[in-house]
Amino acid sequence: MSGAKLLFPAVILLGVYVFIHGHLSPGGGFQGGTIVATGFLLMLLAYQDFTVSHHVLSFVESFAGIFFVAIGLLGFIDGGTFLQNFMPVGTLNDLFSGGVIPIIYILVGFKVAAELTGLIYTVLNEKD
Amino acid sequence: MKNELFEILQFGIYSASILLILIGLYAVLTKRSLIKIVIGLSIIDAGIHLLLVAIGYINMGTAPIFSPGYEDAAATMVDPVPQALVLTAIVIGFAVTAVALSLVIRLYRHHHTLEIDEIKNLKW
Amino acid sequence: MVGTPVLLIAIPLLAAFLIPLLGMLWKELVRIIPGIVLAYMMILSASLLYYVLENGSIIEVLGGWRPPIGINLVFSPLTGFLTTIMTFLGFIVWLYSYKFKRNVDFEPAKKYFIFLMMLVAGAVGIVLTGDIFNQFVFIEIVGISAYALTAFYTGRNSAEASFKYLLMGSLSASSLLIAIAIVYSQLGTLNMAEIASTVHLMDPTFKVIAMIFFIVGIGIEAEIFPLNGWAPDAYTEAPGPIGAAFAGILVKAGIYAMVRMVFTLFDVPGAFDFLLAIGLITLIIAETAAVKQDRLKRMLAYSSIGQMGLVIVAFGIGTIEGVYAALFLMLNHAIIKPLLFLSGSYLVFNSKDKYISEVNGLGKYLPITSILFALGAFAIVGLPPFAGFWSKLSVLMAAANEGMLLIIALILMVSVVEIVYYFRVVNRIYFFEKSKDVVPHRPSFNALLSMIILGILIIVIGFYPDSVTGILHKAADDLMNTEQYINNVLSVGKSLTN
Repeated sequence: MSGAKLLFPAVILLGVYVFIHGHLSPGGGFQGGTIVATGFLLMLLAYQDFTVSHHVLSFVESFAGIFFVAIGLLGFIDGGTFLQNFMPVGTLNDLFSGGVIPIIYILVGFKVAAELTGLIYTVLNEKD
Repeated sequence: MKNELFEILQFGIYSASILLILIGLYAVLTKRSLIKIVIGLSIIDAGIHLLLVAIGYINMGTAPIFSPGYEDAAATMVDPVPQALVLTAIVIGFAVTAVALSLVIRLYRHHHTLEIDEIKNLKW
Repeated sequence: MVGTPVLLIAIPLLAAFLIPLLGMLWKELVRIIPGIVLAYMMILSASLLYYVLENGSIIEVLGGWRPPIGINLVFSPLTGFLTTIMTFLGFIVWLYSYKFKRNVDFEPAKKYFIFLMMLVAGAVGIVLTGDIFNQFVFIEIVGISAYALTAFYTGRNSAEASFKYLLMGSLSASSLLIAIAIVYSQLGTLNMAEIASTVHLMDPTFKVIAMIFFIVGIGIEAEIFPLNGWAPDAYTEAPGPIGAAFAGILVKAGIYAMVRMVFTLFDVPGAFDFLLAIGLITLIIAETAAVKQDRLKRMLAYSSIGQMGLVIVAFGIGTIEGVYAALFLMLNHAIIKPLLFLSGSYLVFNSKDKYISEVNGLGKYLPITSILFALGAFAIVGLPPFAGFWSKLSVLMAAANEGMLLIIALILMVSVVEIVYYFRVVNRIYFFEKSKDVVPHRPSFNALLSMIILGILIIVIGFYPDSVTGILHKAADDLMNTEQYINNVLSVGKSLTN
């Protein structure tokens, strides 16, 4: 019986906080994703029978990547150049401000978390 | 007096980053175990990132973040561009280290040794 | 026009993310989608090139931030020409390796095609971008794809070759980052056009130091001496079509980055002489090393390094005829060397160590492949009426115009050395007896088709070089004309009201 089960939701929450508030405080997609992957690493090290489904990770990773390029192309069709801003830029320091950047950070956070978890899982469970 | 302190600090940071680069270079060039060479590559990356961030420093500048109470920080911010460059460089360095370590695992499985002197099947 | 330049990078990225998903639906899609994407890139790049030759460069702004603050892509005659060659070669490599040795299984095929698309997309990115940090990121993308592709086979030696490449690549990327740090701290900008217009304000010591770090950083991809130690191992251990992709796509991007730095970004006097010297050293050392090789792909790798040395010599001559000759050499090398790699890969298909002595007598068993290999060998040493003759002639004429007689003598001596080692192999193919334990493997239909396309191109360019000289003249003109480059980019910055 280890305390990892109690810490796991807290670490995930911290990671999600970091990549949602990427445009307001230090952090962002890559940092938040790495923190979430560290939470998964904690669970993988503490419990022998904790598994993550490889298919779900592949799905999340591919979807996040596709949505990223899709948002870039949407900016293309809407404004004129790739990755251009097309959402309303709110007032400074609001959570819902900054145009398209929070969405991109969330997608990058999911992608990095899925990728790193898959990597750790593959390395830890190698037969032979 | 504060100005001299900042000058010494900046000099210290620049020399620390160059020292890190040289230590990493020494590790890559002279160590014989594969893992130590990969660690040396990581240390070189750390030194260069420190150098890049230190270049963006403006005297008596604050952190480049807008927060309530500091709305006019734009006048005295440090340069945020090198910090964005370093974020990208950290991610790239991490990906290269991951590829390097997977190659080290494969090399170990074939040759059963981590000494780089033993692994010389391909010669001139 | 079917699109804009940014799609040349965004669409392969999208396809690379889609492949694992669609692979779960239907396994053949993993092979078909890269083909569609590469064909689309080839058509888009060719149509944009046609547009640009009439109307001048396209400057595309990314993200809505105008230059020099934002990142911009530059599709000019020079960069468009190189992009068209690269995407065409990417398509040919896909056609050849549809089902090749290890990627007939699903899992390796998924990785192989994803990395192949990232390789082509990254190389196109190096050529198209107008911002030095963006170029660094694309160099790293290409590097990681190349490390993974070199280690594709699970034999004993590929991991060692890939690790060697990774070590040298990492060190040179660090050196490139130091150069970017120096340039940013002195000039305050990362945009290439802005650097070109303000570089005369930079302290000369810093300029030289930054240029040295740049050359060490980019010289790895451009395979200049002494930074090409990784190349023979990597080309040998990589799969045959990937060796062709390295020789045709990767080095072209590296040489473009180096040339852009010397011609446009920095104005250090003596840079051209340095290019001349280092090109000559690379040429001589690589060609003499190629003579004493006894493995086919290693010999082709050294020959490729030598040809790139010749290209750098032609760039180092410094005049517009020199640049024209260098671009013509790059075009011919990009068509002929992949043909040699692709046909050579079938000539030694079933052998473990790929010794040259194993191609004895295969002229009877693999007739079309041997004819194509011989055609490639004749073309690359410069025999008329094949394509290589016109490019070698232009180099010699450009050198003669400047009165560099020593260079002409060295190039001719090296050409004789090339003839020796290529004709040795052709001789073995046709006039020796096949040994009993060599089992020839007939190439599949798609591989034959890709090789025949390259062979036809060689003959067409050889008999009718005027088909490409118009494009080459415009591209050479574009490289020499720095003010036009600066004006094109910075005027977009002033006119956008975003």
